[in-house]
Amino acid sequence: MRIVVYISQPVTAKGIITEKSGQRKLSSENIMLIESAVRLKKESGGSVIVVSAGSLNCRFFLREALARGCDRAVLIEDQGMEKHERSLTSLLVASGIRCLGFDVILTGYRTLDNMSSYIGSQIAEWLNILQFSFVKRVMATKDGVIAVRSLNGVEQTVRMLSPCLITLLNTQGNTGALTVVNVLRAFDTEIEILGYEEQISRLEFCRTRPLVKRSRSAVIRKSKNCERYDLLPQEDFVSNVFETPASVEDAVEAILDRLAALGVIF
Amino acid sequence: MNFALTEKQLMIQQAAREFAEKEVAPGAQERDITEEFPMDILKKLGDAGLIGLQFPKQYGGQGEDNMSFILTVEELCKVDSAFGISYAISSTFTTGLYLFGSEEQKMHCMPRLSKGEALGCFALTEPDAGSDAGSAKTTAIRDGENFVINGTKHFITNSAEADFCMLIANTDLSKGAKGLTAFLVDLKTTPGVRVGHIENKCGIRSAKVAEVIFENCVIPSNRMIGEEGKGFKYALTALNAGRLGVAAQGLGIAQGAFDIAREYMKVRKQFGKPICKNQYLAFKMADMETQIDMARLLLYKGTWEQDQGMNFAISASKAKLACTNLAMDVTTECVQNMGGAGYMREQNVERMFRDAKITQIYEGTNEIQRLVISGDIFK
Repeated sequence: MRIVVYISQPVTAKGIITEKSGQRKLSSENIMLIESAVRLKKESGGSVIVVSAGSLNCRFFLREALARGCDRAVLIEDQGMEKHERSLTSLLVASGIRCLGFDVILTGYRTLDNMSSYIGSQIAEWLNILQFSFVKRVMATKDGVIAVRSLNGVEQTVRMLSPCLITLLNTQGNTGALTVVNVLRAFDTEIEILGYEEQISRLEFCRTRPLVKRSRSAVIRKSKNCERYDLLPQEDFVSNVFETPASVEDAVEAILDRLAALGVIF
Repeated sequence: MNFALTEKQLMIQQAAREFAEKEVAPGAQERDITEEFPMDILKKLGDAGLIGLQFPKQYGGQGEDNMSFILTVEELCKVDSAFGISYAISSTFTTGLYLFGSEEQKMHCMPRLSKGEALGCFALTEPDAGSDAGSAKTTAIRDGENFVINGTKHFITNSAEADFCMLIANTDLSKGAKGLTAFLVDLKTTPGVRVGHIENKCGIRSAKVAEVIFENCVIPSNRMIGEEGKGFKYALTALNAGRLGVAAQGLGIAQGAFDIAREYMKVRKQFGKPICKNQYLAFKMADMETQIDMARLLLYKGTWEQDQGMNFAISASKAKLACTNLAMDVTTECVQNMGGAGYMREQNVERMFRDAKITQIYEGTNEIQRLVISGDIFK
C-alpha cells in the first residue's frame, strides 16, 4: 500500500516556525499522523511518503518525519504559502500528490486553516477520491482501509476502497518511533523538492478526466445510533462547488462566487 | 564560536529522550526497591541503536560522535541514573577495548555490546587500592601460553551482570604501577572467576556493584590487551572518557530533579499562591538553572575536545567535578523546595538525591579531580 502523509508546517501565534526560530520539533499532531501511517505500512506492507508544502525551511521537519519511519520525503515548494488562499494550497498539494501516486492519503485536522480540516477535504475533491474525516482510528485492509469516525456523539465505522483520503483526529496516541537507525537513514535520504514552476505545469490535470470514477458505496458496519452522516457540512460545500471544474481558473472563480454568496468577505 | 548542537545530534538526543521517557522511566522507582537491573530494556536500547553511538559500524556501532553518546547518557540519567551509569560504565569498558585491544578482542565483544546483549565492566579498584589505583595487588603470572590470575577486585559496577571485564592486574609487583597490565576476561564463562558479595548501596541501587574474585583463573595470553606493563596508562585513558560519562550522569540527575521541582512548585499552593511565587524559592531556582547551564557548557566543551582528538583530560576532570557537585547541590535544594513531598519516594527526587552522592566519589573522587586540575595549574 502506498501511503502519503500530508503534514502541515507548525505555526505559532507569531507565524510559521522556521529553522532560525529555534523550535525544531514536529507538532504532536504531525507525529500522530506519521505514526498512524507507519502503523498502516506495518499492517499492509508498502511505503510511506511524507509530503509538506512551504518554503525550503521546512526540510528539517521532513527530516524528522523520515527519522520517525517514513520512506520518502517530498517538499512541495511554495514560498508564500501562509498568504495563499487555502484552495490554491490544496490544489498545489493535490497536484504534487497525484504525481507521486498513492493508495491512501492521511491528513490532520490542525492545518493553517485554523483546524477546519479543509485542506484534507479539498485535496480529496481536487483528486476526485473518497474521503472520510474526523477519523480517530484507521486500519489497513487488502484493498483499502477501515476507518472509525467519532463525531457529535456518534461513532461510524466505514470500509473504504483505495484510493481514498482520511483526515485524522489527534486521538491515536503519540508514542513516536524515533530510533537512531532511522535518524541516520534520514540524513542519508534526499528530500525531494517539487519546485513551484514544476507545480504550475502540472495543474493541467484538472482539465483531464477525473482520477477515479466517484463512488459513494462505502459500507456502514456499525453505528451507535441509526442516524447516517453521508455528507458533512464541509463535504457538501466542497462537492457542490467542485462538481464540474472545467479549468483551474473556473474552479477558483466558483469558490469565490460561493463564498461571496455565503457572505464571506476577503 | 558555535554553541549549537547539529541537527543530527538534536535528533539523537530526542530519540534518547523519547526512549528514556517511554521505556526507562516507568519502572525506575520499582527497580530502586528491587535492585533488579533491566537487561530487557538494555536490549531495547540496543535495538534502538542507542548503544555504541561513538564506535565504528564495523564493530556494531553507529559511527557517530562522543557528543551523541554524552547526550544519551544525560537523557537516560534524567529519569534513572542507575540504568544510565550502567550504560556509561559499559561504554568505558568498550572505549578501553576499542583504543587498545586487538581486532580479535574487539570483534569478540563489541558487536554483542552494541546490540544490548551483553554488558561490560572495568575492574580496577581493590580493597586496598581505591584512589591509589596504582597499588593494585591482583596478580597475573605468566605460565607458558597463559596467565594465572589471583586477587579480588571490589566495588566493580555492572560486575554482577557483565559478560566482559577489563581487568587491571599486576604482572610484575616489583614495578608497582608500571607492572600493571590490562586483560580481557569473559566473566560468565571463564573458570576461576566468580562474582562475590553484591553491595547494598545508598543510591543507584539497580546498578549491580559487586566483588570479582579471581582464584587461579587461567586466561590465554592473547587476552592481554595491548602491551604488558601499560595497563595503568590504558586505565587512566579509559577513565578520562569515563569521567565525561559520570559528568553527564551528574548533569542528568541535576536536570531531572530540577524539572520535577519546577513543575511541583507551579502547582503546590501555600498561603493562597503557588510556592514558585515566593521570591526566595524562585531565586534559588534561578541560581540552580544558571549553574546547570554552566556545568552543561563545561561538559560539552570537554566532549567537543574529545571529538576533535585533543587532550581532554583536564576538561574531563573539570566537567566531572562541576557536574557531580552540581548534582548533589541541586538535588538537595530540590528536595528542600518540595518540602515533605520531596522526601517521599513517589516524587522521585529523593531517589535522585541518593543517586547523586556516588557521582562525587567514583570514577576518581572529586578530591582526585582537584589534584589533577591543580597539578595542571601549577605544573
